[in-house]
Amino acid sequence: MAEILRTPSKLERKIHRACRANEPDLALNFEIADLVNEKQGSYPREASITVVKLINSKDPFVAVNALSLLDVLVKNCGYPFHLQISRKEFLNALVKRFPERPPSRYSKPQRVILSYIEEWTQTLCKNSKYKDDLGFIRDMHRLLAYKGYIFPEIKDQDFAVLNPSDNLKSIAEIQKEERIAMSAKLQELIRRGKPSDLKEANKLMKIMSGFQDDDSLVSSKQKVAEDLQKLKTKAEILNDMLTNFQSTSNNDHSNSSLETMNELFNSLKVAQPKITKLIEEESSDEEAVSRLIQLNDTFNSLTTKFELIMKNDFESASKININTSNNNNVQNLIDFGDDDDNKDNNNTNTNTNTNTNINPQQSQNNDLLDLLGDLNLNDNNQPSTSISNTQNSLNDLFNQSGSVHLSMTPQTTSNNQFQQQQPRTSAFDSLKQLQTLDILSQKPLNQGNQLSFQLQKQQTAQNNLFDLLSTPSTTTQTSYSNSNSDSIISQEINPSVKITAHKSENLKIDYEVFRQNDNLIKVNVLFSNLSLFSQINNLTNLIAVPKSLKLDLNPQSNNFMKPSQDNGITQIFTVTNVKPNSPVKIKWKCNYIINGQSIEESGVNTLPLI
Amino acid sequence: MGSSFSKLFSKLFGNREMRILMLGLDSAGKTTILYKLKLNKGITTVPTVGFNVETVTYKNIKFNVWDVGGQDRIRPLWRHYFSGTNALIFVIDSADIDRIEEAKSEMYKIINDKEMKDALLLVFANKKDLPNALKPQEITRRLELENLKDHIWCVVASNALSGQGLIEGLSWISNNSKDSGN
Repeated sequence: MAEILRTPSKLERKIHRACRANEPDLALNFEIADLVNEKQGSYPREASITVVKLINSKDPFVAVNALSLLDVLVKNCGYPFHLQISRKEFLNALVKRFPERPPSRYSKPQRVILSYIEEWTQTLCKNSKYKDDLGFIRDMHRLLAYKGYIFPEIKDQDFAVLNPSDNLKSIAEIQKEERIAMSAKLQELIRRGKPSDLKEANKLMKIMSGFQDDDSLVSSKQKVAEDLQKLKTKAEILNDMLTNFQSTSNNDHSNSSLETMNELFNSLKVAQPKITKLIEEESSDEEAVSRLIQLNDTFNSLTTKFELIMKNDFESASKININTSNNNNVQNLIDFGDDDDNKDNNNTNTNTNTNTNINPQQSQNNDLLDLLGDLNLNDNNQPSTSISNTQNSLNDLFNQSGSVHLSMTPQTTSNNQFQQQQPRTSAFDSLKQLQTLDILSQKPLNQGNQLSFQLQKQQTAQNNLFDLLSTPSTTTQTSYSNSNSDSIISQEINPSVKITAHKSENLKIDYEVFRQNDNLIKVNVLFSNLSLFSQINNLTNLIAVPKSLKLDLNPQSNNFMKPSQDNGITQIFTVTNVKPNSPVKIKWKCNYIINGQSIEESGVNTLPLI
Repeated sequence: MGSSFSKLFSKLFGNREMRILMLGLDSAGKTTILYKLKLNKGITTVPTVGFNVETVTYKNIKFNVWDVGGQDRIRPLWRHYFSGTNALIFVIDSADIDRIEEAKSEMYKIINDKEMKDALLLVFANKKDLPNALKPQEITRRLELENLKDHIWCVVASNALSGQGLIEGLSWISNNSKDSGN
């Protein structure tokens, strides 16, 4: 009764005005959405109640107008409004004029309501960050479907609006959104006032007032990091597309690739102001700032390049060389751009070409793994607990070797390559050599080898055999006269250089580089476990070289290392077509499991000139 | 319509419900007042992080009393409790003279909110037993309540531990609430 006597609020008056119009008044609808967003508090609720009343109006014009307003509110007022439309009372009111049995022909409001419920179920209930609070929408969907109502199909563009956008947001923005969402939820919980709601409200208050730790800051940062990663990938793709665009003839451009490029370009453009904001927010973290600035630089040069290409100025565009991978913390092994070699002469390249900021652990790029997915090369998700497991994976590796010309080794964090003569002296008996060479020569493991691996696994690190296996090709005293290894291994007399390619907490990777002849370099990769107490399991190493070179990668001697084992795994690869006196760059990626954690390290190295 | 009828019914028989929001600076005595009203016992409280809500029945009126923590970090959350409030009880520690100004500014923030425009304002000048406690007239002056035109207000000196003043406060609310004339 009080409801009737009460003077209508400003919000209610606006809503009534919007719904009385002859047709949906979009401007006024947006004005109402803005008002709700600005005032928050009880506004979302009040708006939802008023709108649903009008939706049930007997005048079909009013109902249709109210439905269009509802759509605007749902799409523009975010979680606080979503929370209101997911209330049981609201949903029941929404379908108040639906008969128990579906009519043979739906009225227009019915059709629209069905499409809304379908849309919300497909988007909000699936992808909203707070979908747990919106369960009643799905229940209503289920109920209507059960009663025989048929939902219309939804257009893709409607999905896009209600799904979370992947636009870059700064940490402050994400946190602000979070606060608004928490406020709305608290208000709703207090209003409902059931004991369970009040309990939850109390908990929420503790979080909101900072008395209870809340992981929202951490998760916000994570979200930003993920989004940045996505943007980097987009930048990379755009760069690739632009490069391709240049190289293909002018008439050859399909509209779709142009469209994609435009889309990518726009998403980068939209993100740029956010990056500036992030730089402000993160100003205390120098490393983050320098990374962000680099990313921004990349975007700037991409923008210039894009604009030049759109003006068909290919010549100047080709002068802009963008090395996205350098900013990327990600080594794309497959696409080893030869342009790395030119970049030093290139003044328009705005990036600082340091390889030093690459943190292998951070790299999240699974490109390589995706591509190799079929090959089943990395079964590093399951720690090999039994010997037979290990052997299986070894066999896998061996069987695939030779065809996969990929392998890798972690990178030096600086370009210092300290050189070292190899100090190896060990006496091997010929039988053991033979076994080693069998492995090196890419034969599938025979029974005898498996046996030796079993032995090796059971023996300690001091074991002879183990020493042998870990240094299969490094000794100068031993001549590998096995027929299987002729040209590659027989020229031990040639100069060799040993460098430490990578050193992390757990893993050290050394290269012993041999020049076999004018255009062939052989590298023996030695892996060492630096961890004092933990075994490294399921190590897989992948390597890539520039396209102009040819890589032959032999299988690893092994895929596990005991704690603090030196040179526990070895692997040989050869690079052919090397020009004399030109440095060889390799990219590598190494996955392994230590302490049950799967770790990926990657990097780029330049082999020393020898 | 059914619910309106039962409301009417309960009005006829004087069975009313009121939503009371009790706010004030930290350690003013809100939680102690709430449980003195509810249990008629002076309990020892800890600073409220969050809120307490209890129903107190007095003279056939059900008072739903919400007591929300008063620490400065919680104050921004007070507004979530405004909606539907019939009366605000603002509790002041009348011996905490240094913070009267702070209390005043918080109080005006609340009553100036649109959602509180129809709420009654009851100020409990609590801890009146303390030797240096200000008198209710002094509190009225310092809060500049005389100039407050758009709210019905009242200051009652109280002692939460003994319960003095609490019932007077509630009966003032019940006598001044809008529905009381019906």
